[in-house]
Amino acid sequence: MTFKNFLIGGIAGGLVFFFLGWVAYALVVNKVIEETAHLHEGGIRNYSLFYFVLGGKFFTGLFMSFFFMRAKVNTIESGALIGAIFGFFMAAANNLIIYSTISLYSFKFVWVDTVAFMVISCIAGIAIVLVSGIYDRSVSDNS
Amino acid sequence: MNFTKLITGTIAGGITYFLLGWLFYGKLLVDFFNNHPGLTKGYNRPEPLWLFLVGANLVAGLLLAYIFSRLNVKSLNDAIVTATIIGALMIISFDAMMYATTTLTSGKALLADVAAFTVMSAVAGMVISFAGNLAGKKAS
Repeated sequence: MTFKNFLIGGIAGGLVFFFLGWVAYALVVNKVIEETAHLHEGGIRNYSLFYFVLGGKFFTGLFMSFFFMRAKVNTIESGALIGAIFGFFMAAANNLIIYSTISLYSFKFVWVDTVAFMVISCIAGIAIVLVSGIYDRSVSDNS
Repeated sequence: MNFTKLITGTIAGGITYFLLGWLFYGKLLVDFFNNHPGLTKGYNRPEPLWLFLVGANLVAGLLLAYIFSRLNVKSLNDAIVTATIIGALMIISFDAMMYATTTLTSGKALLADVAAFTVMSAVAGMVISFAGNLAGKKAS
């Protein structure tokens, strides 16, 4: 496992986070935000800053890829499981900090966003394992 | 996975994140953040929701303790380096999304937040490693 694996895993994970994030937040989570519009009048950008979204997702991919390389996560099952665990922890920590200090989102948003991000991270975990070159079919077959 | 070390690390990391968060965001950087606001103001709660804040810090501690446990991080050096990398990657991804989708923060505030949280994570990593080693010694 090399720096190249780490980088490719980060890019693959970042792209999955970006595209699934676009689907989830445009179709599902956005409705929750609209339901509680009174909480955030003026606080949400009308149009997201594309490069920052892309950059942010790339760093999320790198974060997971870094762990996968060091922990030798090389099966689809473990990639999905650890991806989901990380997604849950990351989203829960971030959302709770925001919810506790800023009156931007409703509590419904906190848990909907956490679940959505956990599912996306699960799929991103699988993508990182498969694309980065760390996938070990023999381990998967034996387990 | 050693659950005693995981629980000890979670509590130690959570407390460290909480105390350093209070020091950085509640004391040292308050004026800086007030002087570098985003486009929209008035969203900060007058008083944080303490229960959720404590919960958030414990989850952050749990994440770091879980990573240490899975990566078998034992030495203090490894703990600091790993926690710094993890903390930096996490906060950059989070802050970039906040900046991209909301008008609550400015570019300078974002950079300060990245620096502060990275330092906090490095210290939390150090404390988790210390607490984990202590718990391991007591268990054996």
